[in-house]
Amino acid sequence: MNQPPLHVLLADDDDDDRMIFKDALEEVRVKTRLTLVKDGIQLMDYLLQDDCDYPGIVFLDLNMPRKGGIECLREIRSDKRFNNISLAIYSTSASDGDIEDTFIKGANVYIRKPNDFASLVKILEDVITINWQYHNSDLNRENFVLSI
Amino acid sequence: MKISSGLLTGIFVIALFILLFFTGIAYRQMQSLKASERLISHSYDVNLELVKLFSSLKDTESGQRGFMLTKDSMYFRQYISSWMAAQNSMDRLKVLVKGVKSQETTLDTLFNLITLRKSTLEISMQLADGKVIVPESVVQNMNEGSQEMEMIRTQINSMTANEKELLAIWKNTYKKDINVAPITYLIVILFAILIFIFSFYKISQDRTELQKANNDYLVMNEQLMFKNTELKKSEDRYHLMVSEVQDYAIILLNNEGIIQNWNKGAEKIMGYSEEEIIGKPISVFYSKEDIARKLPEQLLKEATINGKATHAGWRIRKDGSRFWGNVAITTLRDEDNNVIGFTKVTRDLTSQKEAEERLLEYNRSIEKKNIELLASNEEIASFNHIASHDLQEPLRKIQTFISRITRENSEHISEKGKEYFARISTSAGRMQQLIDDLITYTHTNRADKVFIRTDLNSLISSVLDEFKPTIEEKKAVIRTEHLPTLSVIPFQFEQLFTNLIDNSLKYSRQNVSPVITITSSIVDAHKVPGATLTNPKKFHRITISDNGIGFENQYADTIFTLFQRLHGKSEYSGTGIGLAICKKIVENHNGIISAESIPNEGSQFHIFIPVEV
Repeated sequence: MNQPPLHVLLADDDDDDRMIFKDALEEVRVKTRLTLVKDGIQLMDYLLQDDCDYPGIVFLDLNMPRKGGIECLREIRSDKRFNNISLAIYSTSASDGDIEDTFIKGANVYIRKPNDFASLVKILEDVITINWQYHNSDLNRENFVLSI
Repeated sequence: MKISSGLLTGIFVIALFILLFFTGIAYRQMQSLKASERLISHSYDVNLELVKLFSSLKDTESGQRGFMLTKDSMYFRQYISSWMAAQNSMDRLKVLVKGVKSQETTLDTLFNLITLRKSTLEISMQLADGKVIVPESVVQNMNEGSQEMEMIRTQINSMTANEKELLAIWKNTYKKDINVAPITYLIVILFAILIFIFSFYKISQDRTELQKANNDYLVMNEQLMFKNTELKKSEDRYHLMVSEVQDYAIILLNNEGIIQNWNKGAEKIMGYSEEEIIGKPISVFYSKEDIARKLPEQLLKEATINGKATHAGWRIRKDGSRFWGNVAITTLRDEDNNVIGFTKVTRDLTSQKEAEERLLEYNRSIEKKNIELLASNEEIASFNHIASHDLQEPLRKIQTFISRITRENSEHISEKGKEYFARISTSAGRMQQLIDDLITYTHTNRADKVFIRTDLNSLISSVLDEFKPTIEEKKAVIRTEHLPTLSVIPFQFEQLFTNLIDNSLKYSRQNVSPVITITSSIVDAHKVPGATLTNPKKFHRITISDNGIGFENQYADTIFTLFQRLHGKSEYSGTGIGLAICKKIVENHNGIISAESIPNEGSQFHIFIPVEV
């Protein structure tokens, strides 16, 4: 297993959630390295810097101050440089409107933040181990929302 | 027979000429007859006079002889008077034969002979004067005288014969004339009679025709008079009607827009009396602005072009107040299509206009309220979103941290502590469920309701799929009759059946397998509790029956109220929102939901949805 660790980025304004996510990711049996940003502005600043170390997957909270997740989603998907970045929505709520909206705007997966730590670990493991190249080709609404 | 008066005149002129011609002929014949008659009588006169002359001559001879013999002067006087008579006759004859050449010459010869005779008689008397014996010379003279007498006689006879010839000719002419005259007269009379008859026929015919025409004319005249009266009456009625119309100003304008006629409605609406307004232009009813933009002229122009013009706008009364007038101007034209004027019918629609404006104002306020309502709805929606998100986040975190504690530090926590953590987690979970249900409840209020014809059988079967684990766990039996296809909001009906089936499964009796039956029928409105009888008349009734714990019928209404719970939280899970959501959904479909139950036997939930016409 000499593969380089997967670069994971989480954009979430909530300290607790960042902590829980960090802990859960450490329990995932895949080597990863994590970058944390606190809102959309920080996220876009990070991505748009020169010689940026592009993450393989970005977990995006929807409700963030200054710049929300939907806006970031739109900006990322409209820039060709970010074509290889997978986008996972990571949100407390899962309203039909949000799911529909993010699917149309090009998110790869919609994760509702689970109540249970073990569930979170399992979900992260599932998401990270998905071969996105393969998965993208038959992306549809049915498997867009990842159920616990 | 119709003869034109020209031809008739021609015929009469010709007839008159013919008549005159024949009359002329008749007159000439008369004249000729008269002339012949005169000539005949003249001829007789000549003969008579000749006889008298000869007699007188003889008398002279006898007088002369007597005197010569007796020398008695009586004979001489006889001789003288006889000559005088002869002279008389000669004068008469001279007059009578004047103009008849042959008789004139004969008469001249006669007169010469008579003169000769006279001288011979004179000579005889002179020769014998004083002598008793008649000398030789006397005898000779007397012989000569006798010869002369003979010659006179011959001459007279010749004249008489001549006269006879003439008489014969004249008599012949007379006879001819007298034969022709009756024919001519007959012709004249017949012709006159003919003309008379023709004239009479013609006159009588014309008279008949004239009579007939006269009769026709009389009848027509009568009809015309009747019609005229009717027309006059109708016109009077019309005028009266127009003048009495109160709700419409009916005005007659001349072709320049000057007011010619005025009615009560006009007086009532505009405030002017008939005397003060007639002769004024229509622009008096218009505001200064309308006059400035030449609205009255434009309307008349439009009416002239199109035959009619209508307009609605504020007009000015006599007192300066304004009214909303609905105006229709119609062009009046004569037979040659010249514009002779306009009728202008104005209706005062001020109250309607004001009502309309009030309605508009009211609509505007409703619209404003709607906008406010929409804004507040949106606020509620965003509140919901925030609430669902922000309220759930702490609960999720509580549960997550508890799960981490119990997982990673379980060996350091007492059994009591573990139980407390479990209770905290359950509470947090209940609260999360409550928030979820509340979101669903407010969701059913959303305006974007799309009704789609949906087969309830397939809708139910997809709902039942969701319950598969519970059904298997509780060994539940679900019986479904054939359900109708209705026009519904699909996700709401899914929610409705989910909640009701969930309810039935949840409130099942212990140790009794749940049996749920879903049936459908069509019922009349009067069988629907709480339905207004007017509309609609028929309802679909879908009933979900179970054999669960049921409830007291007194709670049949309250169970649909938000947060109403009949059972303790510890016995049965539930937020008290589910049936409130069901009620809301059914109401969204203009339907009614009701429940009935017998405790410990089971419940029935009825959904009534109007049958589409």
